Amino acid sequence: MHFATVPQLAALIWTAPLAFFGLALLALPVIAHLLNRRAKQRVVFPTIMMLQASKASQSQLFRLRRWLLLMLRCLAVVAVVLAFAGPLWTQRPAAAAVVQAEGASVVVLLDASASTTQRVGGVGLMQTLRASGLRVLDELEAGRDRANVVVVDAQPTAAFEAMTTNLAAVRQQVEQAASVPERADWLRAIAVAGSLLADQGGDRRVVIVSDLQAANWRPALVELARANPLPEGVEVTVVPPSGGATGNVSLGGVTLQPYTPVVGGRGQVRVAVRNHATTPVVRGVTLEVDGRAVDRRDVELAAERGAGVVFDVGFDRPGWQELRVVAEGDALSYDDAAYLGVRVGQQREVVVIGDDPPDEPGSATYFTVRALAPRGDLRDRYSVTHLTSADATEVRLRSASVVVLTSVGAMSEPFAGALQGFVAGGGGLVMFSDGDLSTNAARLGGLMPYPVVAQRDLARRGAALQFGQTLWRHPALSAFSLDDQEVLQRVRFGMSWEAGPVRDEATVLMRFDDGTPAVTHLPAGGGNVLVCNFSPALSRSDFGKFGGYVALVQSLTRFAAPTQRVAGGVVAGGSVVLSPVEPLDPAGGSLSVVGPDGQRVVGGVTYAGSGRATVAEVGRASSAGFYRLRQGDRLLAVRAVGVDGQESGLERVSPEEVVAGFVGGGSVGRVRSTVGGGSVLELDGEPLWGWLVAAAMGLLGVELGLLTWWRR
Amino acid sequence: MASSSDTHNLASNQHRYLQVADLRRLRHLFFSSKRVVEGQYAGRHASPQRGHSVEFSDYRQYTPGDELNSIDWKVYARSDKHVVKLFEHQSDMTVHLLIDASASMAYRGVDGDRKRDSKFDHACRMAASIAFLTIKQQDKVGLAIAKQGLDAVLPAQGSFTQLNKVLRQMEQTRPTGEADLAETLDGLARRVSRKGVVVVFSDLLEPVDAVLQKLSAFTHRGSEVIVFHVMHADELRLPDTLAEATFEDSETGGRVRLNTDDVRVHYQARMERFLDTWRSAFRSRGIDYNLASTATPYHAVLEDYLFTRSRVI
Repeated sequence: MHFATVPQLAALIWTAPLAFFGLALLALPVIAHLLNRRAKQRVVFPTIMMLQASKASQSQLFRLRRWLLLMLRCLAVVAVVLAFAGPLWTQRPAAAAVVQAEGASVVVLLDASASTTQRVGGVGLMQTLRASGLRVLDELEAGRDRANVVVVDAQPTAAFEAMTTNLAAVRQQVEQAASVPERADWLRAIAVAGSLLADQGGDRRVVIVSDLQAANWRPALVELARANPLPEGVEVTVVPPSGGATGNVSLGGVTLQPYTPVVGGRGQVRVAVRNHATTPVVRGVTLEVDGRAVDRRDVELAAERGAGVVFDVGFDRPGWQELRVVAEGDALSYDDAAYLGVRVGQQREVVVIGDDPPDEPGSATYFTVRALAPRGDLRDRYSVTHLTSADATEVRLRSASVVVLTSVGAMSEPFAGALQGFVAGGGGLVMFSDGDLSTNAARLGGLMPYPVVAQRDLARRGAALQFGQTLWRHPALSAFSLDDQEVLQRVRFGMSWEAGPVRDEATVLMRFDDGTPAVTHLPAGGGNVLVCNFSPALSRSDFGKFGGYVALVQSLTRFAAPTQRVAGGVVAGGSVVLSPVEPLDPAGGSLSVVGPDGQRVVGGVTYAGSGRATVAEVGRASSAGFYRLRQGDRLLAVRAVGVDGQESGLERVSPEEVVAGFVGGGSVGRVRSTVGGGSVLELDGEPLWGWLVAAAMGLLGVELGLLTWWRR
Repeated sequence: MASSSDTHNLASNQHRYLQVADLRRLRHLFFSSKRVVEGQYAGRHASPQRGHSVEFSDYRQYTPGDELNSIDWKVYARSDKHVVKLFEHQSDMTVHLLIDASASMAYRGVDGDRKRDSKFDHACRMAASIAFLTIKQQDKVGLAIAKQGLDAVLPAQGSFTQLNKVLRQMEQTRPTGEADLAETLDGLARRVSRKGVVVVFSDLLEPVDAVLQKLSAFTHRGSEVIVFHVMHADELRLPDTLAEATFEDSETGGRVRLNTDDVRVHYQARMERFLDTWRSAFRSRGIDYNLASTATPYHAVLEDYLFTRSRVI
């Protein structure tokens, strides 16, 4: 039996009115009262004269106490009977009637971000959240109400395409939900919930079961304030996590110096360790190379402070190596490790990008490639790879420490974007003024130290420019001796570009004798940009034939090279792109991607390109660790995937703050805890049985207390 | 003195209120009057009667009619006055035991366990002991039962047969009804003409003034009155084992329902006032008052009293 025949008195609903017959139980305390009166002992006493006189000393309460006890017992019985009658209190009888008629549609947004792996009081938070989600589903009535669940991670999706009345299946989804090493995209999750509820009638609810991590919620709340993706009238209920947030020590920000380690060299691995707790801690941090522990440090961390830990490591073999830094376990395990994949080479990698033929003597690329690798073997400092602008993608640039642009025609926007990303990630860029510089300068935008106005063809006028004022003490030029400086100053340039005002953050290292910038340094992002307002091509000058060009290019390239490699910005939940640095072996077999668990990643991997331009993309990295691109047993590339550093901060927003974020957008919101016996959804009203049972227990407690006091 | 064969016979009769253990315990005790008593035979107790005994009492002026050999010629030789020498007469003592046999004396406790002594039993044991001591001293003892007035009277006699009679009378008596102690005392006073010792055993649930007035008939006559105020321990502090109960008056049948814990303090204060009233009333009239609680063994009460009394004498 349910609500169709349920009588309503004002805002009080009795779900089991038959229980009122239980009021007959009131006879029990009355009978007990009467029996008690009779059963009391009768004593023939010598005289009652003094007893009668003493009886007057009894207080009024004592005289009435039998009646008082009867009243308490009767009230306790009434409270229990009323509790069995299933009272529901609602301030919205109309809404309760809608639920009774059309049912309710409830979407549970279940937080599964990395921070939900924390343990509170010895219990995993995810376990608590799952229990809260199940508790919410328990309040739904099978066959009447509809539900769905959205497990909120970096790419939240609904468990079912539409709302379903199969509550058991929804329960199963909640039971199977597990924490992932990803951030929670709450805005997207709320949008998914909004689309699920958009075509639903009746009472529509969104229940947020989350640890309310501030790092995830604050940006979402800002966006919610602008636009609430929920349909109007949807009621949002926030179930706050039980128990307080615990302290956490996180690892992040792994860097390696030098940027491209070489065989036989040494490097320094630096990792940032942060204590998010309000008390100081001491943690052991271990560096592992290819799964083997090589060093360990104990770090003393003040409350809510961070520190850097530096490990010295040697590289004794070429190829990919996996650096993993591990901290001792704490409440949140996901951020106790940081990863860095490093390719140890015989030489430092330089990519020369030029659309002119590299093998044609006199071209800018010809001179530059030979200037960087004069011998063409391992004795050279650099290993030079030539690419045309069409072949140069972000993936191809990733293994290089410096990119040199010699003569590039009008560059495409993807290519310009790849260059910008390369420099932002710490790469060095040396650019000569050849090709379509006006277009390219516009494309590169922020990488240019000055605007390019127009090309000046001085040779046509029989004039030429020479190096003038130069900062010889600058690190980029300090290797030049006085003789070298004189040689450079004798070079004549027949073509250069008229430059606009130099940006404040740029430094002009060399100027032509007319004062225009010749070599300019601009720090951009994490890297360096060096723009040379000349070209080594014979059509522009004879500089390419000079030995001074070799010295200048090598010096500028060394200066532009980044000093350290920063762990890639790929975090779990995002896509991972892997590209081989070395040529593929045509007979080496098929490519495969192996995940952090050592198993081949089967689904969600796409391969594009061919040969050395092959790109493998894992659409969604579900785990933190190393993703490896293999051809047979040959390791072609390694990419480290970390956990978003924002997941480490366990600061929470208040549930009221979350609710307030919805209320402004046409939703109704409230905060309900699953701790205790109260209802979360209150679809039919607030159940009062718990209160009535508590009242009955209280009344019986008062009765026992009075009896004890009176008999004392 | 009583012969050992008499004592043996008494013991062999197996009286409820006087048993072999009691006889052994009482063997060395002595019960006497603090005051002079009047008796028919020469005895060990001081008597107001002057006689021819060895104890000198006083001189008085010779009056015609006195025997000439009673004149103290030595005094005449010294003072030229005729005086007669008086000697104290040593008489036997008569003890009248008065036992309250009202219904209130039948109280044995909340549970009414018949194995326990009632107040009446307690009183009878003390009275039997005194009777034994009295007979053992070759004095006379009588018994009066107060039950709706003077119910039974055994005139005082000084033999073990009398003691057996006293004991049997006690055993045959069933406490019922009201005592009417004043009426009983009045009746007893009319039957007793000589000075003696009156020992009253009662819970004194009687009007104070009436009882005192009737007792004054004995005290004015020169008799000594001793009162044993027999109370049950439950009466003195209310039973601990009882919380709430209906109390029924043993004599009037009236009822009151209450919780003993609630009224205990107030009750005990009233009980103390009740005892003080009797205690001060008796003492102001020269009457020995002894509170005899059933919580204290009767022989202990009796021994205490007799030892105290021997010091006073």
